[in-house]
Amino acid sequence: MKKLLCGALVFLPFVLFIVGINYYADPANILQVGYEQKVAEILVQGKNASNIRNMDDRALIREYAENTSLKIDTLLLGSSHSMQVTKEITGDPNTFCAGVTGSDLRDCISIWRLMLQQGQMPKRVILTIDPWMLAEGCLEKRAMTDGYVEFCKEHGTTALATAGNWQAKLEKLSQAFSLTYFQSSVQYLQKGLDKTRDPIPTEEFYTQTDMRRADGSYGYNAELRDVTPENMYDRVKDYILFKPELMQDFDGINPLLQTQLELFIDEMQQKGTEVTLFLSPFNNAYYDHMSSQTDNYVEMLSVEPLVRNIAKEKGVQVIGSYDPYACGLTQMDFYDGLHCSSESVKRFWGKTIKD
Amino acid sequence: MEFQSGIFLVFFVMVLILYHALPTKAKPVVLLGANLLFYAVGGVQWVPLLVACIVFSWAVALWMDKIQNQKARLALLWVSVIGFVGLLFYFKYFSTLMRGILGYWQQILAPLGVSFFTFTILGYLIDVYWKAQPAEKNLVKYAVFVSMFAQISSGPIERAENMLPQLSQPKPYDYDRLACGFSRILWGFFKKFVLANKIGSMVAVVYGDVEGFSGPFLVLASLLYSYQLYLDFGGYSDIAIGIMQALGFDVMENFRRPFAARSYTQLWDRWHISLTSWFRDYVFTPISFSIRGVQGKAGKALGWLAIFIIFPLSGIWHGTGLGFLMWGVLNGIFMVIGKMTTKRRRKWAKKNPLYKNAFVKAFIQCGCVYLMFTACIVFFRAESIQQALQIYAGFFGGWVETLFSPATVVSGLKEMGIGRVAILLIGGGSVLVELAEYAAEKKEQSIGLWLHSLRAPLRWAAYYAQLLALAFYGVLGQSSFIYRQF
Repeated sequence: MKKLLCGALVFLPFVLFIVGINYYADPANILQVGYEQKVAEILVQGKNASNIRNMDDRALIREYAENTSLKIDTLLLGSSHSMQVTKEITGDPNTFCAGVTGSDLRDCISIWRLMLQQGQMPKRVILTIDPWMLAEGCLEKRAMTDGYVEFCKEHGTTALATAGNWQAKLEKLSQAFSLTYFQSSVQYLQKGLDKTRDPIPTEEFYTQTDMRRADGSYGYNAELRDVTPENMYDRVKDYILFKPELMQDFDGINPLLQTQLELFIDEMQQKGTEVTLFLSPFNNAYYDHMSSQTDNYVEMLSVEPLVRNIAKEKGVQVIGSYDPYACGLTQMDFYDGLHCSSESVKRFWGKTIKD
Repeated sequence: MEFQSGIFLVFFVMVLILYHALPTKAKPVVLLGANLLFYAVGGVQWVPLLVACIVFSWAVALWMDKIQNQKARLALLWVSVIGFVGLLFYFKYFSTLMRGILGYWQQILAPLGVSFFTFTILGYLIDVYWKAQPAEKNLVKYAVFVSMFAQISSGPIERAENMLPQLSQPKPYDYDRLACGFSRILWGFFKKFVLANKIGSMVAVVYGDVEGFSGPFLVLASLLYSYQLYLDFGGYSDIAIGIMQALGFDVMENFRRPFAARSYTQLWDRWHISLTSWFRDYVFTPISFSIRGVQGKAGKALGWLAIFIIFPLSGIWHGTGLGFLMWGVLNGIFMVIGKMTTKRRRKWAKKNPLYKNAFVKAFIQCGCVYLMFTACIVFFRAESIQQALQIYAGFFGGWVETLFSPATVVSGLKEMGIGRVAILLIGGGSVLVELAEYAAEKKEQSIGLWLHSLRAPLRWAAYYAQLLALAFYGVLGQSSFIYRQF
């Protein structure tokens, strides 16, 4: 046993080295705390926050909700797709996009409930529906679930996968020891990004770096915005060749999630909130690929007609479509296989796409 | 559960602690629990199938052992062989066959390790039939043998005569054995995740755009692929063998410096040993035995056919595409030609002035084997027969234009990701791998034992070098917190 312990101790410097570099660099802001608070402080002042790094969007939204004095009249909910909708697009200066990356339905319900708890009463909610929002296999480990659990209790429906997010917390902590995270940390340090870690307030609509604006919308960095036919091909081909994990996990439309979506719309309408459903288009090349497949892509695309039926029953407007051609978009209106630009969203916003 | 995942590390450490801490009687139960948990994580829906295969084969073996009637024993064996080969056929080949006939068929998902555990079971049943191995009465030990978590997904395909006695008398905890196991695991990680994956990214660039690269680059990518395959599969085997060693088990070697082979026969004695020996013992030997009475040219021809047939079968075992079959066919042809021309080649070798120098002789012989292996491997790597033929045709084009234009060479290498750092890492790493494994082979030690036997400063330097290489250059996937999400 002594030999074993001594043998293990010899590896301790290596482990400490990895953990030390990961903690110091922390390129995804998952080991150190306080980053989201800094971003939220800028947003509540009505300024845009540039030099944004990976962060916990959900922590940001919590910080913002607790500290903002803005009366939110138009609230956007959903994934990164919702973050291309700006206050200029909605036409309401009191717009806030509370979108979070990888958002599932539980996030949307929980953030809505969080806003109500903080005294907000939006007149309008624009809910972005991604196909995987209705699939149990795609439930996000990091999702906010407190408000969702209450919602399910009140409506007498079963709350899905709400075991305190311990898996997500464990996964975050484990990154301290992760060699893949270490390689990202080394790249981060080599680029000198540790010296310019903090978010920077700005009035600009776009900057060189990623940014989160005061209205909650997201501005991508200059490199990603630089779209050419050559680099668009590279950006889309990986989506086509290597199906994104979220789509691999799509296991069909879950009836319970569908019911919960409908109950959520009912709840918002009962509170006097106008509900709009937003369907963000896929890149043309990727959409063509999806439409030609016979696997779970078929059911993913069938979410759109389902959503339109629900909207019809509830008297709710639908903006956009998964079909980029229906939105009048080309590949060059996208940043990658999934995200179209704010300028592109503006072009089809408010238009009736499909009946 | 992938070996490089954090969750596997936690799983393995817990199994190790439990296994060594608990009394002997409990050890097989710990392993069985671990095996089933590992298998369930890979797909809980397949656990009943695995359990059914284990129980069925265990019962059949016991029955075969009990009955004396030879015909009845043979019938039992044939039923089992047809059953398990049928199972393998259904999961691996049925949907491809139906697609070929009907144009479309839903892809059937195969259970984890189906190719490996069916062969493990078949080998055991054949050994019991031949009375080379008594049937194992203890179901738990037998189940552990078939479902061993370290080997079930990619081998080595173990034999009952080696594993069952070790399961009956598990070795007590021993620090040196544990340390050798961990040395072997680290070595495997270095080979697979630092060297193989890096080479793989270079090969993928060329094979992903065959028309965009000229002959020299196609040849380079193909040559690199041969070595990548060895590092990848050999590295994986090192990890599996190291895990078993840490648990106290001596498992068969799967690779023995295959590219040090001086002939094609030698290559196949050193490459994927567990599979090659399986086909030799359970396919080639019975066929040879059955044709032993045939004399003259017919006897020779049948002998060569027996040698040949193993390779297309091995190809099919690896995968469903025609490319795998063609790979097997080519290898079979090379083996048979090698056997047919052995005497003539030895005669020529004696007259060859280049062979007077031992190093030159070794270089030429090893080089020829490597080139022949690479010639076959194109079918293995290409996405289709058509692409393979396109690559072969492409081998001959663009040599003058490429080699007389340094800028073209540099830009091609850059596109493949071959820069100064990559050359140092892969070149230096490969040389170290070959030297270390040569030194271990000379001392008749496993690489894990050889590393563990180095003097402490050199040993720890070797460990740290591997760990740092893994940390800085290992291709382990991407942190899920870094990529841009939806």
